Amino acid sequence: MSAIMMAHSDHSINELLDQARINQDPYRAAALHPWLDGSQRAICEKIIFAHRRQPRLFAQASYTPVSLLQRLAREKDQITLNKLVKNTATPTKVLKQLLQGDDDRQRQDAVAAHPNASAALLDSIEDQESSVRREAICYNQNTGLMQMYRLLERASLHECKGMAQNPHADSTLLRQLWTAFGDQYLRAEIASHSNCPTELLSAALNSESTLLRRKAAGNANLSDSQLVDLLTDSNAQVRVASLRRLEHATLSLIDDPARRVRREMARKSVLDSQLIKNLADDEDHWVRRWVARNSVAPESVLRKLAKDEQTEVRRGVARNSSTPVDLIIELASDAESWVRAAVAIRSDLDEEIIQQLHDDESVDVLAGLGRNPASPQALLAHIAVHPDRDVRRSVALNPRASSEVLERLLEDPYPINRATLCRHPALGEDELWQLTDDAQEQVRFSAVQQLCSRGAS
Amino acid sequence: MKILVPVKQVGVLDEDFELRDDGRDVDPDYLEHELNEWDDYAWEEALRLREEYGDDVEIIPLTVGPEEAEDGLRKCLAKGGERGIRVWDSAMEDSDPMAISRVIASVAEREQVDMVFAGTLASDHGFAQTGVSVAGRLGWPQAAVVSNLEYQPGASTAQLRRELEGGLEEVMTIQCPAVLTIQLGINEPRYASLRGIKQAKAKPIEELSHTDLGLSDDQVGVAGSASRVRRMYVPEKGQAELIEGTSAEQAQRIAEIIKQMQGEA
Repeated sequence: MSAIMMAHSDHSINELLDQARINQDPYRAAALHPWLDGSQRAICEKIIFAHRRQPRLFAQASYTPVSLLQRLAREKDQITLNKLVKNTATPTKVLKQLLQGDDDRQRQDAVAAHPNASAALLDSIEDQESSVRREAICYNQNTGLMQMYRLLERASLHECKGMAQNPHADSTLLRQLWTAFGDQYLRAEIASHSNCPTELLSAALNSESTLLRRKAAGNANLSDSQLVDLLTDSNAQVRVASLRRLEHATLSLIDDPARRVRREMARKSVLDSQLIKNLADDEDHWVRRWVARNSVAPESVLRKLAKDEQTEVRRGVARNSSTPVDLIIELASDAESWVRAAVAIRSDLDEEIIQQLHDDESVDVLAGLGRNPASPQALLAHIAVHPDRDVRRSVALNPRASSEVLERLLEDPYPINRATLCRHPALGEDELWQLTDDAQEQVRFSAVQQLCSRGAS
Repeated sequence: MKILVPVKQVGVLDEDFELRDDGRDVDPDYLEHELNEWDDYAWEEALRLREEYGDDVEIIPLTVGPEEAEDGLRKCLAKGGERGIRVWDSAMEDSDPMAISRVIASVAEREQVDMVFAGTLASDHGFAQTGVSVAGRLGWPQAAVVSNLEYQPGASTAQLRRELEGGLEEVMTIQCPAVLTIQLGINEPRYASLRGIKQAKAKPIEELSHTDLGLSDDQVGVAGSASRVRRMYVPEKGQAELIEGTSAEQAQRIAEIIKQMQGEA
C-alpha cells in the first residue's frame, strides 16, 4: 500500500505516522504497519522495538497484523520467537519463515502442533525419532495423507487416534487403522469419519458397542433410511445421534422415555402436529422450551406455552419468529425481565411495543433495545448515556445507530465501548480521528486500523 | 482530613516464565505490571468518601517503587485526587513488607493523615502484611479484609464489616485513626474518564527518598527487612491429570473422575 494513500480528505497516512512518532506510540505504529512501505515501516518499527517488552506483547497478540508478525519472525529474542510460534494467529508463511535456520526443537514441536501449519511445512519437520513431534503431527488436522502413511509404520495407539480424526485420512488408511489395534475408541473415530469405508461403517452400526453405534450414527454418509433404522436403537444416545442428522422426527418416538431424545425432537424443523402437541405438554421444561422456540409450532401451542410457569419457556415463545403480534405484546409485559428482554431483541418490533418497553428498568431489556435495528434513534440516544456500561455498549453494536447517536459514546468511560465504537461503519471519520488519540491503547489501535481500512476501500 | 492509600504496581506473570539466575524471583523480562486489584478497591473507597463529604477530605495515593510504578499513581489520579507521592531510591531494592511498611508509616506521619486504606494483599507476593504492619508502626488500630465501611471523615469511630472464614462476616466498630485493609467487592471501582486520564498527566507527584523521610539506610532494603526470599521454584505437579485420547475417551474419563469424587466408584 502506498504511503501517499489518503485515509481521509483532510488527513493522510503521514499524519497518522506523525502522531505515532510524536507520541512514540507502539499501538498506532502497529496498526499502521501493514499500510506502509519501506522507509515508513522502519519508522514504525523503531517505535515498536524501542522497548524489549513491546515486541513480545505483539508476538502473542491475536490482533497483530501479519506484516508485523513477519517482522517479528526475524527477531533474535528467543522469548519473542517462542510467543510467535504459539500465537494461533500466526500464518503458515510466518511459521515457515521462523523455521528457516532455526534448530530450536521446542519451536519446531510447537509448529508441528500449530493449527495454521501447512501440510508441506509439517512434512518438512517430520522427525520419526521424536514422540512429541510425531504426536503433534498425527493430531494436526493439516497433516497430509502421505505423511500419515509414513507415520503409521511406527505410530502408537494414541497417535493412530489422532490420524483417525484427520479429514485427509482416506479409506485405505482408515482400514489399516481399524485393524491396527482393535481399540474401540480408535474404531469409533473411524466410524464417524466421512471417508469411513462402507463395510467398516456397517460393522460399527451392527456392533454391540454403544460407543461405536453412536459415533457411526453421526457419520455424514448415512442415508435417511439408515438413520431412521437407528431410531429404534435401544440406546438413547444412539437415537439422539441419528435424530440429530435427520431433518424430521418420526411419530414412533412420540413416547420415547429418554428426555434427551425428546429434547432433540423438539428442535426439528419438520414435526408432526401430534408430536408437537405431545412435546408441548412434556414434563421436561427443556423440551417445552425448544418447542416454544420452534418456528413450526402452531399458534395454539405458542399461546399455551406463553403462559408456561417456566421463564425460559415463555422466553422461547418471545423469541419465536412465528409468534403472533398480540402474544408479543402480552410477553412484553411479562413479570420476568428475561422474557421481556427476548421481546426487546426482536428486529420485527413495531412502534407500539417499543414504546411499551421504552421505560423498562431492566438492563437486559434496555440492552436488547439498544442492539435492535428497529429502535428509533431517539431511544438509542437515550440508551447511549445509560449508567450501565453494557447497556451503553449495545448501541455501539447496533448496525442502524446513526453517527449522531454514536458520538455520545466517544467519551464513554469504559474502554471496551470505545474500542467497539471504532468498528461501527456509521462512525464519522472525524470521530475516528479523535479516537486515534484515545487514552487506551486498544482504542487507538482500532481507530487507526479502521481509518486505514476505510482509506483503502 | 486526609486519607492515605498505599498502592502497588504488581507483577503479572506471563504464560511462560523463567526465574532469575539467583533463583529468588521471576525474571522481570517475563512480567507485565498493573495496579494491584485490591488497591483499586481501596482507592475507590477513598474516592467515595471524598465525593460524599467534599473537598475537606484529601485523598493521597502513595507508591513505593521505581519510576515505572508511577503508572499506578496516574491511574488513581485519573479517577480523582489532586496529588500523589512516590518513594524510591536504590537503597530500597529488595525491601520486604516490614521495610515497606516503615516507609508508608513515615509518609503517614509526615502528611499527618487521619486514615490509611490499603489493599488486603498484593496479588504478586500475597504477604497481606504491609497494611497491618503500617498499623503496628503507627500504633493505630487496624482491621483486615474490610468488606463494608461506614465512616464519616473526622469521626472518632468507624463501623465496618470484615470477611471471616466459612462465609462468616464480623461487624465491628474501630477507633480512628486506623488502618483498614480493603477487600475486593467492597465497592465497584469506576473507570477513569478520558478527561480524567489527560488531567492526571499534569497532576503533581512528589518524589521522595528514604532519607527525605528521616529513615536510615539500615531501615530500608535488605538491611531493613525482617525476611528474605531464599528460593523460588515451581513445585512438581501433584494430582493434575492430563486427559488424553479421543473426545469419547475424555468424556468417559471425566465421568469416572466425577464418580470417584462423589464416592460412587
